[in-house]
Amino acid sequence: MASGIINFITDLTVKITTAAWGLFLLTWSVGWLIRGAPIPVLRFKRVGQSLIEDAVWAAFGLAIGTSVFALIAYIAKLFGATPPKPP
Amino acid sequence: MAAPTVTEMTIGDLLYAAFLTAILTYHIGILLYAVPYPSRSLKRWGYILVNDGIMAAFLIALYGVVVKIADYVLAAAGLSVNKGITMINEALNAAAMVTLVAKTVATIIPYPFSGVVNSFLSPVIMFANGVLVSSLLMLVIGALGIEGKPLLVAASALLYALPFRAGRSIGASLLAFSIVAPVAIALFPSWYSLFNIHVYLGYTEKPYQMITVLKPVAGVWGNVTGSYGVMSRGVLVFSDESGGRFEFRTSMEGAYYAPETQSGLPMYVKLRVYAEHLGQRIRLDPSVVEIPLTSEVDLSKPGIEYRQDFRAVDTVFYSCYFNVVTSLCPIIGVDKEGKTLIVKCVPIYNEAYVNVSMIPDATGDIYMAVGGGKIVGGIRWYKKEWRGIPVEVDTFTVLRSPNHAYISISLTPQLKGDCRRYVPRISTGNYIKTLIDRIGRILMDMVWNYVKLMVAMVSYVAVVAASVYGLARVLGATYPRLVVSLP
Repeated sequence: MASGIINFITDLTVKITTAAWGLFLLTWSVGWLIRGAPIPVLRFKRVGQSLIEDAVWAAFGLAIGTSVFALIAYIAKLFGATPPKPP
Repeated sequence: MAAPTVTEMTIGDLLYAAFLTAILTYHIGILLYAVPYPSRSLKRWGYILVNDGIMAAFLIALYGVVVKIADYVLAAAGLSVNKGITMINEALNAAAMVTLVAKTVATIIPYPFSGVVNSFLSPVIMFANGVLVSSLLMLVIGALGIEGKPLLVAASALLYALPFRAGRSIGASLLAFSIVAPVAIALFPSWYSLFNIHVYLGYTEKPYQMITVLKPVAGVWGNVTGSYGVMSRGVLVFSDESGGRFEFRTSMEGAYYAPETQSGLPMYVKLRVYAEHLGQRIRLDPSVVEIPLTSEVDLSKPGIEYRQDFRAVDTVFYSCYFNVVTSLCPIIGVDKEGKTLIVKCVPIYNEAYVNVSMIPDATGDIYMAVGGGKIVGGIRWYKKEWRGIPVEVDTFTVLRSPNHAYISISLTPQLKGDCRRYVPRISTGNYIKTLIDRIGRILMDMVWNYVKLMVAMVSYVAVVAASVYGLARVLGATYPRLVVSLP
């Protein structure tokens, strides 16, 4: 049961991460496509700009995702390993 | 590999699953960021999920600290959970006992009278039942919040970690509950004492007595009017200032020398006082009194004032049975062997049984009659340390003296400060009327006390619920849930 749930969550995370990478590439491309499109509408171009920005943030988040949680575990270990004695 | 069963899911597994779920939540948030659709609400959800994932991971990683928050609060405030649990248990026992007794009485009494008695007893039963249910609820809260705390925190961490804040409200509620419940149980005695409840819970030797209120019922006082020692005779006299005095006298065969006493050796009168009421022993506070007659008491100068009141639970004293124990060791000689001081004294141990009869009347005045008791003599050996020097009481030969040394102490049992000698001038009819009046008042007091007890219990449950609700809101619950209600 326990390992079943854990496997399920891990699988789901891997799938979502993969999908997120794919979506990042797509969003990035779509963003540049919109920016590069020969349509002289500023609002349209701005959508492309925001898509590129979001994609960059997503890629950044994906790249450091594992590191963030490793850092949390490390910091928590600093705090949590030896909790201070009650007064 | 065989599939593990549900029972193999430990707190560690739960926390691991919660941590993985936090990572999942984070990645879902990132996924929402990466979606090629420029929607504000979608991106906002992405931001929220990323934050939630990180916060949940922190909560899980700091699990050890979170579990101990309540312990820190308790230790910092110097509170004890056990005391609260014991107190709730006592209230539970009292309520159960009252219900049982009241129901038994209502069953035993035959038909025409049962109606009258029931009209008295039914509110008592009702309120006792209320107390019963509230105390059980408090005990369940305590059991869940104290015993199940690690599991509650782990479960709430998992609920926090669920994506899209699916379990945030309930997780925060559980977390708040696990923090508030132990503190609430520990603070219960304080809350209880606010209501000034005195439900008689029987004779208990427990260190706290918040439920029972002790009132002065008797006292001993007087002056040391004379105390002197001759070669073979010692006299110590207490005299009192009022009339209606009861003299408690104890005498001994033996002697003590005044010079030894003046050299600063310990001498005291120890009183052990017990009271009985209707065959039951009543706790007196204090039950042991030591009247010092040490070197500080200059035996040549009389006039030392002494007063000691005894307090007991407020109840109807029809007849009291006081047992007064006096012990005293007049010194007859001192030797020194190396570092050990050997004191030779004559230990006196005397017990007196005193009957005190009191009849309450309608106006609240209490009459009392003092009957003499018998005096039982005995001898006891003492081994004491005195001012850091080990003092041994050596065996001795009683000085054969034709004279008697004796101490005389006057005791004046005092009831609520207004005692009179009992004069049997009250008629039997009046006496019965008084008795019924008094019993009625006690029953009304009992009902009122149970109302207060129930109000205390119920209000406390409400206060605890409100604290859990408030803390849950602080911890991030939009809709704190105290009871998991099914749709």
